Amino acid sequence: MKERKPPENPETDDPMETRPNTMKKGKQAALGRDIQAKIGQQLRSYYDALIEPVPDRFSDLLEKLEKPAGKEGSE
Amino acid sequence: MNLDPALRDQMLAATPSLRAFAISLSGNVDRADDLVQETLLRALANIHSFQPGTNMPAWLFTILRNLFRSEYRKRRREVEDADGSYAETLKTHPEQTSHVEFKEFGAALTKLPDDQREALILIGASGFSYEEAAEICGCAVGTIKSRVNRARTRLANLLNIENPNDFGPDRATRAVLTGDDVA
Repeated sequence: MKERKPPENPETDDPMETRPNTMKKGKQAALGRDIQAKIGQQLRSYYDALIEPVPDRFSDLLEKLEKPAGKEGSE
Repeated sequence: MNLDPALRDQMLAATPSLRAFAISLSGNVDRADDLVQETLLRALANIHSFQPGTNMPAWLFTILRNLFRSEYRKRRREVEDADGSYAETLKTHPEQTSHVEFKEFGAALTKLPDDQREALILIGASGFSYEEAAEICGCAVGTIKSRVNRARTRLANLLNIENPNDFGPDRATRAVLTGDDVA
């Protein structure tokens, strides 16, 4: 299979990914760098806010398996 | 079963981001936690097939993504939770993101098609390369690129970001983000 070149314009659809409803090609479709940067920034803030220390249930689950005689059924 | 401590540490290290990915995909903390638990259990059951030295986060994300696609997506249609109620259950938000903005963004994210959402998060937030994201999603690199582009365009529309000066729910929020003076 030939490798596809990435589309030159962000709004250009990859032929592999065509979908029935064609999006309006207005100025909104062409994202400037500023807008992309803002979305990227907001996405990272959102994601970072979701990052928390590992809940005990997961560390317990992994710790338990280190012990050879660990029993199942903590919950 | 005995788990190699090094592998355990790698799994633990990947878990916070894995969980954030799960919350972003499912839009619900409780379901995300179930998803993470299931992912870790599957990973442990198949740990022999993991080659030490290869990419542990990508391996775990692949498992989680496939679980979500096969199982959790069906439930998603049954339980409509697109209103961002998950945001209420989260304990803290960083100060630079207002609560309103956080909820708005989360809600907008849930409106993206699954394939676009996962591509955008993997590339824009989880820190994977296009090649890694393509492997995780089982598609071509070019497909990931086009999905990310579409996701951005869609988000810009959903969030009404037409130019940077209009960004954010209000001027005060923008000021916080950019450090500009409100007055």
